[in-house]
Amino acid sequence: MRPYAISLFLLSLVFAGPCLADSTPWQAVWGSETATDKITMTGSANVMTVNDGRSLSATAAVTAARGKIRFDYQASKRRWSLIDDGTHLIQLHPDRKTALLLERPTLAVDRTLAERNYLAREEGEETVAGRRARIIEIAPREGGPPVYRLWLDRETRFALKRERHNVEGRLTSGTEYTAVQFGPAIAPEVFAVPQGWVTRQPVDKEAKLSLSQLGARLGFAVRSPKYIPPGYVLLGGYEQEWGRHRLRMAELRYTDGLRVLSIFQRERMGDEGMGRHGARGRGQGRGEGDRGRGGGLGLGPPGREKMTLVDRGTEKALRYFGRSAAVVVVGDLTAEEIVRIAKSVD
Amino acid sequence: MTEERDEVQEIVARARSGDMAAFEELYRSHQAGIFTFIRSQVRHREIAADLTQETFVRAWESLPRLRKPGAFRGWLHRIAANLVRDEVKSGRSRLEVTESTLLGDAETPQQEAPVPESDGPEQRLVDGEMSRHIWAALEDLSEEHRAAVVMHHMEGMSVEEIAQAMGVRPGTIMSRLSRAREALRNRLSRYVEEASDD
Amino acid sequence: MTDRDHIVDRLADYAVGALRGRTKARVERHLAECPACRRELATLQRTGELLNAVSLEQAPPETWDAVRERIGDLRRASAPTRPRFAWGLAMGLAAVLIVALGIFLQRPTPVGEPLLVVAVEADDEMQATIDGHLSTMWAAPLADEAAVGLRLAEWENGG
Repeated sequence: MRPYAISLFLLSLVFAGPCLADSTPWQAVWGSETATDKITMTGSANVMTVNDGRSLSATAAVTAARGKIRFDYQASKRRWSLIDDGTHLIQLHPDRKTALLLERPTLAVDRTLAERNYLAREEGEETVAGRRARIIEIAPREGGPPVYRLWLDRETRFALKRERHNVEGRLTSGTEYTAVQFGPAIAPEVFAVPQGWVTRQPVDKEAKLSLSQLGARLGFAVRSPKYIPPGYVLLGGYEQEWGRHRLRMAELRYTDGLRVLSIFQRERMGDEGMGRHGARGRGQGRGEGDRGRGGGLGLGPPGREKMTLVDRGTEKALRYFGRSAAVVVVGDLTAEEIVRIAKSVD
Repeated sequence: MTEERDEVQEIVARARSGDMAAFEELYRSHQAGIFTFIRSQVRHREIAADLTQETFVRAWESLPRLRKPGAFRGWLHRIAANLVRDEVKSGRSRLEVTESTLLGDAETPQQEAPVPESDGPEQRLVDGEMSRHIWAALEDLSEEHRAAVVMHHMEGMSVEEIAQAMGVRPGTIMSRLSRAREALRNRLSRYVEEASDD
Repeated sequence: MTDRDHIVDRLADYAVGALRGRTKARVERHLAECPACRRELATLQRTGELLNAVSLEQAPPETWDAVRERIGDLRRASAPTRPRFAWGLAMGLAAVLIVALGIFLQRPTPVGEPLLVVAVEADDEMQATIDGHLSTMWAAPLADEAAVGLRLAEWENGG
């Protein structure tokens, strides 16, 4: 009896090692980021996000192994998949048998920065997907509602449930696993585009550029904002081209460790921002109906310069016309902060 | 050249104050350039016509705010370019080249009876088939290169005018024209190469 | 040999008139001595002439009538054309208007200060920046990839 008990005890030490270590909340959080680097996982989750005031939801079958992860979504009748293989984000459309490869942006994970700006607090324990999970809340050190709430599996530190709140404290996304299995064998093909599918890959690669390099590439003086919210640091400058017609803008990207702030700018053209009214119809009887253009609703007398704010819940975007530049600021910040940043550029 | 500019300025000034006849003059002299420019970016004729209409309506609305009446043509192109950008972004007009374009189909801009450009340095007639091939060759260029070629060669806009209209430096336009020239020289070799002795 | 390669690269630039100063002089010196490059230049120039000779296409004749009619409407109308919104959007609009009012009331806007407009719909440029920002959110630490993936798919599907 005794040897059996002893070996059981020793065995449990091996498996319960991570738990017995009683890691700090931040340690557990960073552990969750790399949880599936060494173990494999399959599971299913309910996913919800707020987009443009509307709630999107889907169920997802999730597969993870060797630092790669795959989501097979289903929402109403639609099915599609997303794979993160570490270098690309791959979107699969099974009905069309096409794959879209997006360059996976690499944001250097600066743990010190995140820990400097945010607190991680232990908030108890709950059961998720039949497993014991440690609840950890991450909130700004200076105060305010939490940004993330994570339910981390006690054994593997895998995030069984995750909630994200915006700067105003509103829930903007949540993923909760309903079933999960650790350790199954997973074939590498799972994270690759299936044979015979058509792959589209936009050519543009993201390269980090300095302010002067950006300026030289785009042909105008790219300015730095004079005001950046405390805690944010510059990640780099990028040249971005959007849409088929390739509208070129400079992007200055900042992070506070967890949140990303993007400041886009381009040259202001002609009479832009001079009191244009939006929400106009176009064309006559084209069958499209009246389609709003410009998307603005003039709240003041015409002829004055305007700033346009769009609140998506998950982030806000503000376009501001400075003296010579058009600036768009995108981030999860208060409207006041965003306006202040935009105005400080030009 | 300067006389033309002064004339345009005068007409613009009248149009600004609400003179519809003057605005119609502006329409008449700029519609073909704008339509061709838009059509070079947006394949469907109807949509191009619609966007042309929209360009001029917006021009009418914004005319009072045009700071330099002499820069009317470039300014008008800027309006058109913005509309095209929005249209393309909306996904309705897809610019992928298909085999039918290469072989020359009804969508490719061309005229039944080509009219020689009276202002052009060369009084050379470009017939229907040649025109189709030229447009097919233009489809191979990027939108920016194609736009520069249309504005410079077909509409006769100066590099400075184009640069202002597209919001880039003149050097950028030169470079686009230069790259386009190389690419087109190869695509149109049968028309531009001398008969070889090899 | 190297000199010729160099020149060949610059021939198109020379043909469009992009060269200046020393570079231009160098190309011209070479052209004086190199019949092959002169021929190539002539080909490039002929390409330009060919393009010059392409005629413009006329807009459909009914376009002017449509323009004139719409301008007439604009002159007659005193209010912008009716926006369309669904009830949900109207609710959202009410919410953002309250926010906008809040911003206004807190800080009176002096003359010359940009006027804040709160939009319900993003135009294409702003939508593009939001989409761009979205893909960086995927890579942010602790990001809810599953949820960001949902939004990415909506974007790709034109949602």
